[in-house]
Amino acid sequence: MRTATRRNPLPRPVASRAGWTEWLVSTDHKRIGLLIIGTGITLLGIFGLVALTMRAQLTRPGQHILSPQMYNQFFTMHGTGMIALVITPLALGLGVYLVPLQIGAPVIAAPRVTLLAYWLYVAGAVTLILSVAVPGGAAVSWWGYTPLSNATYSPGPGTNLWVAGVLLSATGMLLLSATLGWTILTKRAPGMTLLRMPLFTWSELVTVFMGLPAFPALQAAMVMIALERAMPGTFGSNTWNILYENFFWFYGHPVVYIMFFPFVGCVLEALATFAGRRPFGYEGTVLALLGFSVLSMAVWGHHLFASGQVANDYYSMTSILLAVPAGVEYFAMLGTIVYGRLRYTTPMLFALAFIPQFLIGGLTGIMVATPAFDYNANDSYFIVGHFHYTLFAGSAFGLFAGIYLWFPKATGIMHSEKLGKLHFALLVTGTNVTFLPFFGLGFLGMTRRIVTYPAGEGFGTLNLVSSIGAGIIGLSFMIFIYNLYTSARQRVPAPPNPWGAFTLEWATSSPPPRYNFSARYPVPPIRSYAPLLDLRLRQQRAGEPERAGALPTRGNR
Amino acid sequence: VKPGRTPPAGVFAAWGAANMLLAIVLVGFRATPVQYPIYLLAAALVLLNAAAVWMVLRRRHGRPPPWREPPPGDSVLIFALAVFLGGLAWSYSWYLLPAVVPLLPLAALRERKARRQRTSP
Repeated sequence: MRTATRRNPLPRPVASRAGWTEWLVSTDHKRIGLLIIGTGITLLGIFGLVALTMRAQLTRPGQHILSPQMYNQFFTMHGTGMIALVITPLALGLGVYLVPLQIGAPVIAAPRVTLLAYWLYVAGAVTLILSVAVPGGAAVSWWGYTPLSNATYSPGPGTNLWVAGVLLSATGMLLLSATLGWTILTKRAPGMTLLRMPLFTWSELVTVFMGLPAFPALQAAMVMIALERAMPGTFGSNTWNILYENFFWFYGHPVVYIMFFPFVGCVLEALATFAGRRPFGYEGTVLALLGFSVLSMAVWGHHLFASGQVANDYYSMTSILLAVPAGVEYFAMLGTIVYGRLRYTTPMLFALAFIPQFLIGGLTGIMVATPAFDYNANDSYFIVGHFHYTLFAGSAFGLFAGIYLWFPKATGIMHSEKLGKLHFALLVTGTNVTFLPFFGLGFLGMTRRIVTYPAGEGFGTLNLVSSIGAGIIGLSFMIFIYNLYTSARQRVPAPPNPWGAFTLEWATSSPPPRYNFSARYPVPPIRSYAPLLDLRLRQQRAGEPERAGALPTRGNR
Repeated sequence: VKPGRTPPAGVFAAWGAANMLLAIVLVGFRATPVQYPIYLLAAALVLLNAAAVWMVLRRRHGRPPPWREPPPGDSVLIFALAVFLGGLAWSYSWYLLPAVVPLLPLAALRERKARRQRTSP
């Protein structure tokens, strides 16, 4: 893909000082989206290093790399950071960049609110990092349960900073959700009806549906902790502790889906693009996404099975019901690649790996949705394995599928496919070597959040294997960064539609102009959810020369 | 379902209504009382959004969405900085609070200037 155009490198852009400061106050959704994605990837590196340090601590029994208090601070930072500052912002940031392009809108709704959301997210990130840097740093895990997080058990400014950081970033994410939803529902180009929107945009819309009620619940929970810390005894009884847990998990479970729906959207787009056909079962997939998001608001109590304070049968029923829309989505993914002419590009490889890996995360989720099983697996490494297969083996692979798919569009340059495939090979190896042993450790009885373990428990070998895998993941991340760096240096130009994709963003230049479409790159007629495919088929029938690359023909009509 | 016959507010409202239904089912399972208000308030919030979308689209009468060139976000950055320092002042040290005070009028001034410069492309 890359060598064909290497002889014609793009001129290197000369950014003036004013140019860089313009980025910081720009109301262009593409710039804001790239800022969010760039910040998210930087923080992914930082919190990934935190995870590597924890894995180093657990490699052998009885190690002393981290003290128990430091270890508690590290897993607080890793959990809070990855969820609130990395995966959620990346999920919504991709939407900020892509959604207006995919629906033919020149701008995002309320662009300055979107910019404010970005800066509140940055403020939250700095505050959260400070929360472990100060003496008496936050060590309350990512949920900050009371009474652990109150002023008696977590004195000092660390937990205050943690509360402020979570509150700031949650406000940013709420604002991002609102502007994205408003854009999708009110800014679509003429002809872009809801059932002609790309599946990625649909995945962002259902994410917004969940984000709008979920983030205020987290804000309420943080305000409760803040009040309790400022005025001890305000929420002193166990009723309030349970209320806090309900508020927290009313955010905490939907956010899991907020953290993977957009990446499912990336995978669906990549599969359709590189199978060379329309997404299979479009309407069914849309209904499944909607059904999934509705049910996702009704499952938060399964995090409290072991508390004895929730209606276990209801939450078990709704959690297991999630398998139905998930099955429809899987059927659509597999249906899209069956009979397709597959091209094994880097984004396609990430999308294909997502399918079995996310299945492991989903199926173990159904296991722990059963209270009888959950009582035994609760707080064990089995749970850690389950959610890492969901959020890393699933979401991260969807994220990289999306990044490699849209990198040429966003930057106007091609990435190196060779380095991309090396990144993929290392990541898929590292992921499974790291997280598969967690299930075994869980069955052996290793509990979560322990700083070390006795030598005679039999946890040593699996922990060693897992730590080696974490090192491979770290190496793969360096390959990814090196790929971005060399691509930026070599600047191999990308055409408007390098992959021969079908959705609207590929009709404009790479990178797109300020208002997305122009007289040279107008919005094409929209008569289905694959407008560029329609255009090419019409051109073929009329005997006109094709402009947008090779047209896959099988299964398209 | 025909592509042109799916009203955006309807999708939003159906989503909120389905949540209401699940919340009502939860009553039958004798949940902890604190769970109903959280759930129903969330569903109501979504329905409120549906109503807002419906009103906006109704006023537009099928016309393409209007838009204006947004002014730069200097005031937004200054406001976010004020919020950040305010958060630090609350959570870490009250001494930071005086730094917040000049930022708020500065953000307001930049905002007024930006609104005056707003143009349509």
